[in-house]
Amino acid sequence: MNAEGAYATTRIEAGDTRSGFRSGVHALDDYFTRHALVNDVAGVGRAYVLRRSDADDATLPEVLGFYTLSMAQIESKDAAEVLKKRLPRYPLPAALIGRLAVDERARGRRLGECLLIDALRRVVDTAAHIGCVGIVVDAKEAGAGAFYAKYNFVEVEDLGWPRRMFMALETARSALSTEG
Amino acid sequence: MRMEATIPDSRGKAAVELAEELGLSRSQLVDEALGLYMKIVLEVRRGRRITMSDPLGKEPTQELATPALAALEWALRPARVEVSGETFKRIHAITEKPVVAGDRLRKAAKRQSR
Repeated sequence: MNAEGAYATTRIEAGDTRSGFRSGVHALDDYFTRHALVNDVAGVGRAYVLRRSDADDATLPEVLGFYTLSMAQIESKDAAEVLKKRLPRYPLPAALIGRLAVDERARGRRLGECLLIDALRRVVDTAAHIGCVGIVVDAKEAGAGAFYAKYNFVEVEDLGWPRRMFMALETARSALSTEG
Repeated sequence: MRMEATIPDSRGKAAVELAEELGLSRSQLVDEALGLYMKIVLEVRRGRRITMSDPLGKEPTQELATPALAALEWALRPARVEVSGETFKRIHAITEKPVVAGDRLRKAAKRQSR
């Protein structure tokens, strides 16, 4: 939490993976403990961590939540056929929120929202420098899908799992432009 | 070689003052700044992080990050998201006609503003 009372994320550090983070979803906890730092260092996907601050309840865990971001190329072998002659730049450059989780002991504090807005802000800032048409998320459970849908992500994949969702960059940009 | 650039007045003023303070010409200052920036870009391309650390170890190490550097990092290794033709069409349609940010998203952005 910064001086204004808003949380700020920072890049993952070695000690974070040993902090005892637990979201209650084994796959997310396992990823955070075993792969988040390794992938971050390798440049595969950046991991951003929300840490407990001095202003927080000291009984809260050290790491309150995290998310991962990477650039993605959305491709389809059928794109030309489906879009007929209206073929856009191909593949479509996008940002991918791979994983986003809040520690189960820190729920009810809008930290999921905080992480999501932080991620959108990073994407919008970055899109000033590189091509990016929007943000992709893969909601791996029903609750996650409902969470993203609340914030204007639209389901785009018919397959049952993971629930692939998308938000146009312009939607994120317009939301953040009115934040002040 | 001679280069021209348009920068904010405040940055230009600060650069002139810094050059005077350091006893450098403006060209020397810009040359050194560009050299440092190119070194940073080179290191980021190699997957390194640029950090600032307190020699006494009292302050936490801080990472130097700018949108341009973050963009460089991200663009290095894009993930491949293979989708069906129909999904590609939907995504394309959304980018063509973006959803207006809803009340909930706007309020969230405001709540979480820096």
